[in-house]
Amino acid sequence: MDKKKLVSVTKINSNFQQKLVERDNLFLPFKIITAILLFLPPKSLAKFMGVAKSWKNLITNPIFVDQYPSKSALKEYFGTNICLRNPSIRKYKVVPSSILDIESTRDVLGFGYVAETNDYKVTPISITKLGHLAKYKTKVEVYSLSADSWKEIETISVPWYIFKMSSEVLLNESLHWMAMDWGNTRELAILSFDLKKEVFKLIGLPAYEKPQAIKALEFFDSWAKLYNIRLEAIIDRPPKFTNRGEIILYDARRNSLVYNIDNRRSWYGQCRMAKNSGGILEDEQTWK
Amino acid sequence: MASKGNLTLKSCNGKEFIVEEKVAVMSTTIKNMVDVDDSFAQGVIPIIGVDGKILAKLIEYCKEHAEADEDEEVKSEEYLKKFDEKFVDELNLNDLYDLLKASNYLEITKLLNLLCQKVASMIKGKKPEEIRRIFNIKNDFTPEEEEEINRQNPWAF
Repeated sequence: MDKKKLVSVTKINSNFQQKLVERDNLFLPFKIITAILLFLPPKSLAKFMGVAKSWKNLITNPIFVDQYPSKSALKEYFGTNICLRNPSIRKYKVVPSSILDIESTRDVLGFGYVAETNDYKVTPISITKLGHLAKYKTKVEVYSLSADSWKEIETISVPWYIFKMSSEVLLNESLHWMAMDWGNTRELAILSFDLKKEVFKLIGLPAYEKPQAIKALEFFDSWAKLYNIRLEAIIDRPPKFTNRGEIILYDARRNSLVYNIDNRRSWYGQCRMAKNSGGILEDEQTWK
Repeated sequence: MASKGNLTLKSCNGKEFIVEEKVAVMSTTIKNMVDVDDSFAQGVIPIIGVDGKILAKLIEYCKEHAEADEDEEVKSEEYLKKFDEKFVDELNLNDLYDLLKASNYLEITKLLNLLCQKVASMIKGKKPEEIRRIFNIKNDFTPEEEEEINRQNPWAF
């Protein structure tokens, strides 16, 4: 073959390839990316959350979920399902989808046991901001394991901001959270949910004045001072108690601090609170 | 000069197209221009950033759909569906990209959706790293964050 011709053919080829490479990537406005993603099946969307932060934020954005043609399919796929697991018998149950459309905005997920009916209950609570106004709506629902069904609880009139980090304490078949009236007063109180009666009540903080906002709810205020404890660490989560007369506290770095009530000694425990667990110990065996 | 009921669209490389108004106003952007300012309806409408080749494609699409909107018997739903399929199948990546941007700018919603659907079908089975290359996106996750996402979605891979 003519050498000159061969060279020119190669040149055209490489030019063509160069052009392909240049155009092999699409610089597209985010609006178009959004429109494209709306056509993808949930499986691809779940996978593409790993593309970049902007994609992850977009795909998990409630507005995007809202625009998605098959919202229920998306939510089913995204693992917003609640799963109850019994470690001792190694069995689990996936809780059916809730009646309220609140998975994407769920703020608190409570869980507890009611002895009388031998029932386990799950209570997701969502606090939604209404529009651009500083108004919030609290939605609550309860799942009963024995009935295997959901029930919406009449919403409490005061929008409560629930402090997840300092929650939740299960005591006397009631869930307790540290909460703030997000309406006008910004007052702090302990918001408690009675799992048996399925009603909310408020417990005032010790040495605090009775909040104004509690008019809407039954109010309890009976604190008794049992111990004075002097600690160096800053404690911002409710303590836990052991059956050996010890109090377990967590400092700001999630280290556990054990305080013995009898000999008034304190020491750092061997386990740390798991990240984002809201109180589950990383190594439970330490406490046997 | 366009006759009454026709509009003249001018591409960024100077090519002029005389089209029926009903075809041109498939683009919300053009519709707004004509509605607000009468002089656009009389004179030439410049279509910024869209070259002659792409503008011809846009007009081809809008013409079919405008006619179908007007007379369902001549151009049935089934006919349109086949037309749409053929329209996107014949596009190369360059044209697809240019048409996406142009239909977004000109707000031809039907076409934009059609093209987005096409891109979605092309990228559906791809891996995140391939998506990053196609859309020229930088991976801004730390290795730990990436591991966390993979851990959360093991069934997606």
